[in-house]
This record gives sequence, structure tokens and C-alpha cells, in this order.
Amino acid sequence: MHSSSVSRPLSGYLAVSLVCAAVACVAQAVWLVAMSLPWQALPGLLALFAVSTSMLLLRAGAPVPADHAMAEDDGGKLAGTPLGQALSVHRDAIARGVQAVGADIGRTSGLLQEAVTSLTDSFSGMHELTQEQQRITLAITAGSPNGDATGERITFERFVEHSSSAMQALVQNILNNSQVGMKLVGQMETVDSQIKSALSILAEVEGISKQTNLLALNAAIEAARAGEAGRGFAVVADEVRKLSGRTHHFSDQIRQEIGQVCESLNEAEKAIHSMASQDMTFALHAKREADDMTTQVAQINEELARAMARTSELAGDMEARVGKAVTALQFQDITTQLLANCQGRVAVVEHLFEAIGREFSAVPGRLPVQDVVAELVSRTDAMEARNPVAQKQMAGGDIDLF
Amino acid sequence: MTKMILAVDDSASIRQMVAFTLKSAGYDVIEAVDGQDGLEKAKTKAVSLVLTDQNMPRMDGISLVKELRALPQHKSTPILMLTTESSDQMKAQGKAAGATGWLVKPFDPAKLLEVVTKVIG
Repeated sequence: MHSSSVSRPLSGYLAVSLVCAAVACVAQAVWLVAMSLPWQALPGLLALFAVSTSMLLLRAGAPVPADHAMAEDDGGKLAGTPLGQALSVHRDAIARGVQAVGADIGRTSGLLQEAVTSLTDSFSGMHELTQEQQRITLAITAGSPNGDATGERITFERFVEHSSSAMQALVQNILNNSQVGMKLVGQMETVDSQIKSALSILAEVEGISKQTNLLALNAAIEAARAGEAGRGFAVVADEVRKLSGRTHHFSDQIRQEIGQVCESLNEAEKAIHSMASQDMTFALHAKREADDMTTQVAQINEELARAMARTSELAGDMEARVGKAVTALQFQDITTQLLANCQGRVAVVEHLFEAIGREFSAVPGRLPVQDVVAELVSRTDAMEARNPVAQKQMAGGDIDLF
Repeated sequence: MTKMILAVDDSASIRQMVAFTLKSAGYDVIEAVDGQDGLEKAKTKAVSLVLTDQNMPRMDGISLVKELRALPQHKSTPILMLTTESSDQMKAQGKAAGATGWLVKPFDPAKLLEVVTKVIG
């Protein structure tokens, strides 16, 4: 019996073992007291030892070393001693085992506390960062808090609308100027035509001047032929010829002035024509570019708005998940209380063992249970020496480079 | 004016979670490590609500409720129990002591906020 109970896989939950042990102890104690027949209690005691000491070996789920050799013939050291002495001898070992369980539970509780506190702190930080992110997103979406000249908040959408309308107005003005320029070109052509008409009239004036000069010359000839009687007439003819000369002179001056005006008008006409044509091309090109850019910016703005909305959704999801994590992390408080309860039960078991030891101290003879006790205590000591968990805090582990 | 809530629990992580949840909603939170500590802080601070665990060293939650109800300034202060205890007998003791409500751990942050908002606005 003891062989099979020792070699079976040591797995299961510590709490279940503790409850089983405590219940077995209580039942055994009651039974012993009631019957006052310690010898008849041996089978139950054996079971109690198996369960309780297996519980100690489990020690909060610590694995059993595969290479651990069973204590060989430990019972030899106890040969000839009574059960009471055996219990007395191993009482300290049992007490050490029970205390070790209590210490492991305490350490587990401490590790849980530290880990969960750290996790909560991390989640709290994540939550604050998410909220900050959401605030920034909302601020970007809402626009500049300073507002524009009218006090209205400046949003990216409004900026695009205003820029677009300003660009449209600018292009429209350029187009209007171009149309005005074309009209000016037409008017310049009219002016040119009128100047040509004026030059034609001036040619008539010059013709009259030449004819007048010719008439004055003929008059002077006729006056000379008339002799003394034509002397006065000769003076008149000379004045008329001078008048014709002055008319011719003024006509030349007017023609020169008009010629300069014509040159200036031609230059202006060329400049206006060039400007009107160039502006029209540029304006149409700029208008197309402005329309394209406005469309692109509007698309970017829509994508930005969608991204912002998604970011906001993600922040909400993150908040919900953090909430779930906060709920889940409270397992630590609950398990800590359960572990404290386990510690209490272990303490009860320890006291029961002491009581049982005292009860059996007067029992003479050697019993098979001594072998089981010796073997299990030996394994308990081995487990104590090979506890795989030494951490007492959740700080990052040490690193050794070899 | 921001309302102040006193969170009493011997578990640092629970205090941290309660504080995190309530501060996110704009409340001021002060923490106490057990009933005795909570009682002393409640005497000196203008507390609008007390959230307390039941099982704590030095002074448990129900004893804290009784002590607070004996103070004139906390005769009508809302006191919510936040504990792993869920037996009807324990709840009856809490109610008899003067507790306003009983919340069983683990708590859902959203629901805790809902209850707190309902109690103190």
C-alpha cells in the first residue's frame, strides 16, 4: 500500500489536498477520542499520512524531481522504535514541511500582489495614454482654438473651403482682366483706325497748303506783271505764301506727333494683346490645378477624418479592454484570500499532527507505517532542497553570462 | 467642485484599480489600507462616498461602517461595501450596520462607475 501511495504521480491542487487532509485529521481525531482505541486507528492514520505528506510534497504545485531516488531502507534507522517515537522523531520534519507550505503560500501571495499591482499600473498608464491620444484627435478634428478673424474655430475643412473659394475668386479676376484686355485691344484698333482717318484729313490740309502756296506764287507773278499797280497785290500774295508755308510746317509737326502716338499705341496694343493671351492660358491652367488640388485635399481631408474616427473608436475599444483587464486582475485579491485560508488550514493540520504524536507517544512496538513515514519525510527533505522557485519578488530576473 | 471618494482595502492592487477607475471619471480618490486607517481619514477629509472592503486587518468593513455612522458628519454619507463576501447573512449585517450598498468582487469598472454615479452623481 505504501509503495503505491508514494510512487503515484504527485499532481493536483494544493487546496484540494489541504481540505482532504484537514477533513481526515478532524475525523481521525474525533474517532480516536471517541473510541479510545489507538491501534484500530492505524489504517486511517496511514491514509492521513499519505494524503497530508503528499500535500506537503506538492507544495503549491512544485514538480517532483524525476531523478529523485527513493530513500532506501530508511526504516532501518527506525528499527525497534515505537510508533510514538517515530512520530515524535518526525514531528519536527512534518512541522518544517507544513511551515514550508505556509511560506510558499505567503510567497505566492506576495508575488501575485506585486505582479498585479504592476499590471494595474501598466493598464492605468495605457488608459491615460489612450485618453490623451483621444484628446489630441478631438483637438485636431475640432481645429484651432484661437479661431479666425471672425472668431470662428479654424478647421482643416474650413481651411480647404476658404482656400478653394479664394483661389476661384483669384482665377475669376484674372479671367476678367483678360477679357478687359481683349476689349482694350479692340478699342486700340478703333483708335488706330481713327488716327489713320485723322492722318488722311491732315493730307488734305497739306494739299490745300500746297495749292495755296501755288496760288500765292501765281499771284506774285501776276502782280509783278502789273508793275506799279500790282505792288500791293504782290505784298498780299507774299503773305498768303508765308501762311501756306506755316500751314505746311504745322501739318508736318502734327503728322510727327500723330506718328509718335501711333507708335506708342502700337506698343501698348502689342503689350495688352500679349498680356491678355498669356493671362488667359495661365489662368485656365491655374484653375485646373486649383480644382485638382482642392479635390485631392478634400480627399485627404476625408481620409484624415476617417482615420481620426477610427482612432477614436480604437481608443474606446482600448478603454473597454482595459476595463475587462481591471476586472480580471482582481483575481489576485480573491486568490490571496483563498491562500490565506489555506494557510489557516495548514496550521490546523500541523496542530493535529502534534496532537496525534502526543496521543501515540506511549504506543510500544514497530509498525509498517514507520517505513512510509520515513520515506515520505525523506522525500519532503529532498523537495525542500530542490524547490524550483526561489523568487520572492516580480522584479526582472538576474542574468548570468557565462 | 470635484467629489472625493475614500477607497478602503488592504489589497494595494484593488485600491489601485478603484482609484484608477474613479479618477478616470473625474473623482478625487484617497486610499486607506484598512478600516482603522479609513476611519482616521474619514474624520479629517470631506468625503462624499466611502468604498470599503470587508475583511481587513485591525478593523473590518462592517465595523468601519458602524464607526462612521456614529460620526455626525457621516450619518448620511453613502458607504458601499466592495468585498469578496457574498453571503446573505453578511449582507444583512452590512445593511444593519448602515451600509448603502454591497458590491461583490471582482467589480466591473463601468458598473462600479454606474453605481457611484447613481449614489453621489
